[in-house]
Order: sequence, then C-alpha cells, then structure tokens
Amino acid sequence: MKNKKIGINVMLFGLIFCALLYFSNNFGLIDIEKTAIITAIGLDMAENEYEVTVQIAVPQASNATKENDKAVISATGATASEALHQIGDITGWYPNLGFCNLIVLGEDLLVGDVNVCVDYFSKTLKLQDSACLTACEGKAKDLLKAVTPLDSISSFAIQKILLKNPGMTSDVATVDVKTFSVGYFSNAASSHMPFIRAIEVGGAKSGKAAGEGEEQSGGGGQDPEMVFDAAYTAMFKDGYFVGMLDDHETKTFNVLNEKVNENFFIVDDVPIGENKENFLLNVSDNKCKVKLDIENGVPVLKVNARLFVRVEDRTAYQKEEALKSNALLPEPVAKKAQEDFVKYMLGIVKKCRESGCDLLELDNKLYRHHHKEYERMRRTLYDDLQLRVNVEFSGVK
Amino acid sequence: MEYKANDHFRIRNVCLFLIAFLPATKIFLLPSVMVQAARSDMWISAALNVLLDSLTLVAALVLWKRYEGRDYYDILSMNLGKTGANIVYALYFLCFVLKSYTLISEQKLYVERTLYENTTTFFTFLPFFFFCGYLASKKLFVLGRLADIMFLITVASLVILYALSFANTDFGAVLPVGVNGIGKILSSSLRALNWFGDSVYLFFLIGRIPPEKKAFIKLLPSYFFAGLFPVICMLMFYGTFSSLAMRQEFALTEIAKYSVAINNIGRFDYIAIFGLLFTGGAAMCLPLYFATECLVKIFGFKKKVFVALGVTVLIFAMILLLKEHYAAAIGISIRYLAYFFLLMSNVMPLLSLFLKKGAKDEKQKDRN
Repeated sequence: MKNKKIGINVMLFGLIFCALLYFSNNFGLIDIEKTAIITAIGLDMAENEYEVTVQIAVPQASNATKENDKAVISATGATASEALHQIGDITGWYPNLGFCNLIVLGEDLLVGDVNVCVDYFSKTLKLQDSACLTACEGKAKDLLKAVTPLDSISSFAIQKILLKNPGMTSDVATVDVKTFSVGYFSNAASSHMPFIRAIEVGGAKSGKAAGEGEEQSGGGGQDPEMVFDAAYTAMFKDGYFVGMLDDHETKTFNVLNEKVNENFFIVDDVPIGENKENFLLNVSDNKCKVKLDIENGVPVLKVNARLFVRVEDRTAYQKEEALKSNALLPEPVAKKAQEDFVKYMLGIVKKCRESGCDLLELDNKLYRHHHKEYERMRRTLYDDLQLRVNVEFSGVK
Repeated sequence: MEYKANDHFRIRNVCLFLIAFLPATKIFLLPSVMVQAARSDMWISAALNVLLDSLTLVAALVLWKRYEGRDYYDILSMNLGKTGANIVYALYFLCFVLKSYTLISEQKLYVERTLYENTTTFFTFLPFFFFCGYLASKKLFVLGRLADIMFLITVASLVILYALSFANTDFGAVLPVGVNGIGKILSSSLRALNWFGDSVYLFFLIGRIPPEKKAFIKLLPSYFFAGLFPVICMLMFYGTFSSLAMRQEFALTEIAKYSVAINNIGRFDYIAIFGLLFTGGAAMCLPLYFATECLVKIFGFKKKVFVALGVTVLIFAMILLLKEHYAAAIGISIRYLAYFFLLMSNVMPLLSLFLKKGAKDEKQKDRN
C-alpha cells in the first residue's frame, strides 16, 4: 500500500513539475514582445523574386496614433516563405501569421500561375487557410500602405468589405485560400477571387504621426485617402488569370450560389409610361437552383431563380407613380429585372466558355450526377451546353 | 458470482464509455489515412469498420451472457488452458501497445504542430505520460467515472464542430457513391484498423459487469451512436476539402474554421477542439490501461501501479526512440500491422464464440 502511494505521488509530482515548465515558458515559447502579429500579407513580383509585404498590428498606447505605413514591411525572396522569413531576419521580430486573415496578390503576379505562391499558404499550419484571398489592381504593397478614412489599417477596411454577415455578402465573391486551392486542384482546375481596386476619396491624412511629431518614412506628405471596391471577380484556370466578371455578373453569380437576406439589385432604364426610370430592388430572399441535365446526349444547364424583392428606391417622374407602394413590384420592373438577370447569366456562361474557367462547377456536376457521361462530355461541356434560365422576380402579391 | 465488488462498472457505464472514448481518437490523423485509399468513399470504409466492430461487440455480449461472472482470462483458461490464456493475453498486450503508439503519436504531433507557433521540444508532451501512467494504475471504476463526465464533453464538442462545419461542407463531393471501387474501400478499412477495434475492450470488461436485463438493447444503440460520429467526420472531411483532402494531415482543427462566424469572431472552435483533446487524452490511455491489465493477469502482479509505470515507460521509450521515424512507424502500422489488429480486434473475438467449456448452460447440463 505504501509503495503504491509512493508511485502515485511520484507521478503526480512529475505532472505538476511538467505543468510548471509548461506554463512558465521554459519549453521555449516565443516572447510576445518579440512577436509581430501580421494582419495581412501582400504579394508582388519584383525582378523575378516574390516581394512580400506584411501589415503588422503594433501594440501601442491608446492615446498615441501611428500612421498605417509605419507598420508595413517588405522583403523579397525566391519563394513566398523565404521572403516572410526575411522579414523576421531583418526586423528581429518573429512573424506570427496566426492572425493573418487577408492575402492580397498584386496585379503583376497574375501573369503567371498564382498557385505557385498561394500553395504555401494553403499548406502551412502557421497561417490559417481560411484567410481571405484577393487580387488587386496595381501593387499589393501599395494597397496595404493605403490610408483609409475610417480604419487605422487598410487590411481591416478590406476585410470588412470581404467578410460581411451571412446573407449580405453577395456584392463580393469572397474566397479563402482553401476554397481557391480546392478549385485549383479539382478536375476543372478553375477558381476565382475578388479583384480589389483602390478608389481615391476626398480628404487626406497628414503624413506626420499625431501626437509625436515624428518624421514619416514616406516623407511627411499628404497621403490621399482610399476606399476599396471588390465587386469585380477575377477568374483563374490552372492558376492563370483568364477573365473577369463585372459587378453585375458577380452579384448574379453570388445570388445563384448562396442565400441572400439583404441585398440590392439595380434595374435601370425601365420603360414606365413615356419615361425610362431607374429602380433599386431590395432582395430579401432567394431560391436558386442550378442543375445540369443530359437531354438527348446534350448537356442542359437549368437555372431556376426566384428572387423576393421590394422596391427600395426609384426615380419617379410622374406624381401618380411616386404614390405607389414600394412593396408592390411593377410588372415592367420585374420583366426588365428578369431580362437583366438572364443577360448577366449569359455573360457568365460566355466568359466561362471563352476562358475555360468552370466558375459554375459544371464539371463537378457532370462528374457527380452523370458519371457515365463524364469522360465523353467533359472536354466540350461548355461548347455543347444549352442554357435554360427561368427567373422570377416577385414582390408582395 | 465473482464480480469484483470494487469495479462498480455497469452497462450504463459501458454505454457512456463507448460514447465518450470511441469517437475521440478517430478525428485526428485517421481521415487523412483513410482518404489516401478510398478518396470520396472514405465514409463507406469508416461505416464498414463500425459494422465490423459491432460484430466484436455482439461476440463479447454473447460470451458475457454465456459465462456470467467469468472474466475473459478465466474463459480462455478453461478452454485453452493457462498457457493458452497467457499467450492470448500476451498477444493482446502487444496489440494494445502497438495501437497506442499511433494514437499517442498522432495526438502528440497534433498538439505540437497546431497549438504551438514554433518547434516544440519532445518534453512538451511529457505530462501526458504521467497522466497515462496514473490512469493505467487505477481501478476500473475510475474509467466509468471518467466516461460519466467525458461523454458529455465529447458529444458537445463534436456537435459544435460539426454544426460549424455544416454550412461549408459540400456533401455532394462524395458522389457518385462507390466510384472508387470495392477494393479501395476495403483497403481504406484495413488501413484504419489501428484506430478502430475499440469493441474488443469489452472482452476485458466481461466478468466485471453484473448481468442486466436488456443489455443488448442498451449497448448496441450506444455503440452505433458513438460510431456515427467518425462516419460523419469522414463525410465532412471530404466534403470540406474534396480535391485537397489527400494532403490534409489533421482534420480536427480544419473542418470548422471556414465558418463565417469564425472568420468574423475568431477561433472559438478551439473550445470544442480542447474538449476533444481532453477526452482524446483519456481515450489514448485505454490501450495502455488494458495492456496493463493483460500483464497483471499473465504474471499475477499484485502491485498494478508498477506495471502501469512499466507500460508507460515502454511506450514513452518507443515514442522517444522513434520520434524521427514516426512517419515510417505509422506507415508500418497502417500497411502491415493492420492484419495483426484485424486478427486481435475482430477475428479473435469471433473465434471466441466457439469457447463453450465451463459455460453456464454446460454446467447446468452436467448437473442434470
């Protein structure tokens, strides 16, 4: 009995001893004061090397404000990870990627297979592959250094655009690293990501650090304030940029693929009487189904979309029109909205056919639901495709 | 009756034991092992394993009914003699130790690679071995109490993870069903045997659980409820990663993090992950607990604590010595030891159904 108690005590003592080491940093945990918490990564090409720009959240006192570009650091390397390690080497800070939720690819990177560098972020456990992936106009470095009117860090502003609440995201075709890679490695080798454009707005922030009077690395000039538009969608085939969906097509694509709770659909030039009027429809719900069927040996894409809308705003050139309820959807508006929807849908299919990017995942649908026909049809799927779109915009009846 | 009064293990405990510990070890490395062979049909392989183990469970229950009051060692001794029983128990000892190597290694790797930012030392995982040794030295009722507490944690954690993953899972990715062929599905089932075969623990519980009415009705649904979680895990794993599934090493932290809620709020799924690590820690100890029991039976040791210590040191040494070769070691376990696990976890229990000498009915006949 005594021996047994000694044995148990030895084990308990060992457990407590290890727990002490475990919680007291003696197992070599990284000191938080030497850790750079990276919130966003930008990737560009610079003379055949990857230029990685990181935006770092620097802990600071609440009464001190620092300009955004102070926390942006760049380094180059033959691979994305080499460049990231370079950042650690030249600053002495350990780059912690655990909180990085945004990866931006510069425009110059889109000329080649983007997955060559994106693949690292998909594989590494240091960064969560649920981070948003986007491309941008110009250099990613400039985008991350941009000064925004409402957020202290530009990547936070971009993330707000990309990550809205469920049901309110249909303006932007947001993807994460994993989703992009799943598409890239699928049989169709097709994927997409939002394309961000920085738009200059009025007002400028001083280049000097408020409260410190410290000289900026940028030279102390007036930086224009920027906002970001991510409504366009870049299409990729085998990792190569092959086309772009415009804002209307992006919205149509999203409405088909996800549940919408509150979104807007623009319907312009609706003939009402003698005038052409513009409407903004609030989409409160949608029921959409995209199905691939084989009829007489020909692939048929059946799109059934039902959107529940109410008029949010309209131009009304006649008094009697202005008195009508917004809950009721005028017949000409529903007709024009349906025509527009079909037009955008045809635009998407045309771009998919021309670019080879299977944005609608028809290859997957063919493989899963018509497996016997897969080998015969897969190569000419979009060429032979017949489209049947049945769209209904309905308001209160 | 020869039930050990201090075991305090009832059918209810066995039910909770199955729910608490059966799913906890099958969601770390197992999905990535199964997907290598069966791809989109990995869930069918998992379902086959669950069915196979249900036969083991039924065999244990039949034997338990047949020899009410006798433990498995006694049953083997009566039929095969003392030496035969010792050989079978020695084989089970080997089986449990080899099984535990993979289970502990995968959780060790998981903790070191995903919960730590930098490379950890070997000793980061050391506290587990103290816990393991401590648990292995305890009496059976401790497992019952643990199961009472942990079954809720296991179920709640899995439900949270699955609920978070649900919206982002493309269940259509597993279509068409059976496209990879029966050969690959069976191969995947075989590769997974290191992780399955938990029903065999029941053979080491018979004789220690007092008879209860409707035990079958209580145990089988509990077992299938517990077995449902790994099957769902496989479905969700493939539905989440589809074309990438082949290169995903750990499923546990991966499947839930694509939820919009997590993107907006942060990784609160780690609460569920820690819950599963907690129950997984105890589940990993089970093979070593029963390996200790085997040695105690074979050699008739009185001081179980030293046997537990010895078994723990043995597995610690195995993991320490093979730390640079764990991939090869797990590969051997998947490719070659799978047949041994099949023999011990599924074939041997079914063969045990032929053991009849000294059974309750036979005694009755002799008396008549």
